[in-house]
Amino acid sequence: MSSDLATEVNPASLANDERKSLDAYVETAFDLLYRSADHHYRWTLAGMTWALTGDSLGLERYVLPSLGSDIQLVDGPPAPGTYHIHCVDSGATRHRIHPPQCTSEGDNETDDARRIWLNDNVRVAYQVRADILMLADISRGRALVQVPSLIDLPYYEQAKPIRDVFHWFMSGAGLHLLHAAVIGREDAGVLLPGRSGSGKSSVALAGLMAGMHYVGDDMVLVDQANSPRAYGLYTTVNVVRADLHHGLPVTARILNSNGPPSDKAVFRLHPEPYGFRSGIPLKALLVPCIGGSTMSIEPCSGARALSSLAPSTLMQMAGEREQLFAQCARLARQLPAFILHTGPRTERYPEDISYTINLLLDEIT
Amino acid sequence: MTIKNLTYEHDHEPSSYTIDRSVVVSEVIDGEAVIINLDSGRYYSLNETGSVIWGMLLPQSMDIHGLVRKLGERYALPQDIDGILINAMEHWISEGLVVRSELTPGLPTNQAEPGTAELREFIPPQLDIYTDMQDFLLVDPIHEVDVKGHPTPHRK
Repeated sequence: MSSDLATEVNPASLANDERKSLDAYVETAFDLLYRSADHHYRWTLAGMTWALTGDSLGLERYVLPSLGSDIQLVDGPPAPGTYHIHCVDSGATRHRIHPPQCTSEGDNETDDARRIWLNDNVRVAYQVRADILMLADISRGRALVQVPSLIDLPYYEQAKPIRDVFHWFMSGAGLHLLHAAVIGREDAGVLLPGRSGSGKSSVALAGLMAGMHYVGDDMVLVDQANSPRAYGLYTTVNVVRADLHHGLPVTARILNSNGPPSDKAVFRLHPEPYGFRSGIPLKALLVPCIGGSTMSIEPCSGARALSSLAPSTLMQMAGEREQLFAQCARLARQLPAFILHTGPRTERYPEDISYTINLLLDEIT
Repeated sequence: MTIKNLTYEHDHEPSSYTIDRSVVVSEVIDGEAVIINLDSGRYYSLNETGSVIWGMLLPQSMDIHGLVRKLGERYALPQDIDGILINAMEHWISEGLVVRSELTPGLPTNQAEPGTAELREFIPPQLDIYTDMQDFLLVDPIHEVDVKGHPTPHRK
């Protein structure tokens, strides 16, 4: 198979009578799409060093800004030991591979479906609507991301790019991407779990505007090797459009200004807030509950916090859900859990959020 | 009260029940069970009694007799306890959380030891069902492959 074939290729069809293994599929995909790099983008997060290669213009405009500002352009190919992600703009290169053939009932899923294939060493995820294919070879620390156009990436992919690949590699290193927000101060923070619309983003953004340390509003990286510590991965925040009049950090840049009113507005924060990359030790789970007559905090069970954290986290991630659920449960056992009744939204909302959460942290630390 | 003197008459096939770990993840934290069915996208909580029963099923499959025996060590059981448990198991089976399995040799019998601790009131198990994540989980079918080749539906 020529590696410069300028057409659509379906590695899964190569085997004909003898269906190829997923390992062979991924190997073929790397043979077809991987190109050696004379430079790469490198950054370190929670002790893991990453390298990104691919179309520089697309990466610089649409992927790297959501990953933070501490990414360096480095001459030469990625060094051994780094986790290497190679991004392919199939529209520009005219090299494209199909997702694995699926002969199961999953073929009948709607266009919104995300499909996942996995074995001990290989992970493949295909987002049908966005036509984004991600493959990872875990043991060799390398991954491929194929998009139809880096320039035309959907805003939600720009907001949280390559998250499946991060999830696959990081979970093997004891780090877990959780669907939650984290705010606090240098020595202590709270993790705010909850499905979309639960209020975690508005609470996190209010804390940010009041000067609190901020790790993330929607997806954070949690290291549970010792005492749990959360790190920021994406610089984006999601805001209900009706809340935009409450104000934003002045340096935020909107990604989807023309989006429908039902979609949250997505912003990139620049520069990163305090705590974003350095991380914050987690001291409590704080389940946001919008409403109530006043802002208040009350204890709740670990099971209540787990019910807020685990289902939406598992929904966000591609595969390895049993392991992810176990980590969510571990966090719910480790940390005290509380419910935050946000009360009415007043002019002093950010200050009240900061005061209330700091009061909680004072009491439990 | 213990179950020592109770007599059980069953009109059902004797079987034991086990958690369907191929599609269910669960934890019991401080006596409260949190359960997610990865196939259906539904997640669940159980009241105290239900969580106790779920905790009994976590390490091993159990039959009705075994469950009654263990429950009798901490609860004052009503006369129709086996019917209550059978109904609960049927409900859990219908939600895809539990499956019937072969009777496992060596499982506890219904010969309970007389209890010494004060027994608590037995409130029938109640399963609360949450469906708000269902649509999201269902658009994310997971497939596994084996050495022979391409994807098959995710089943263990």
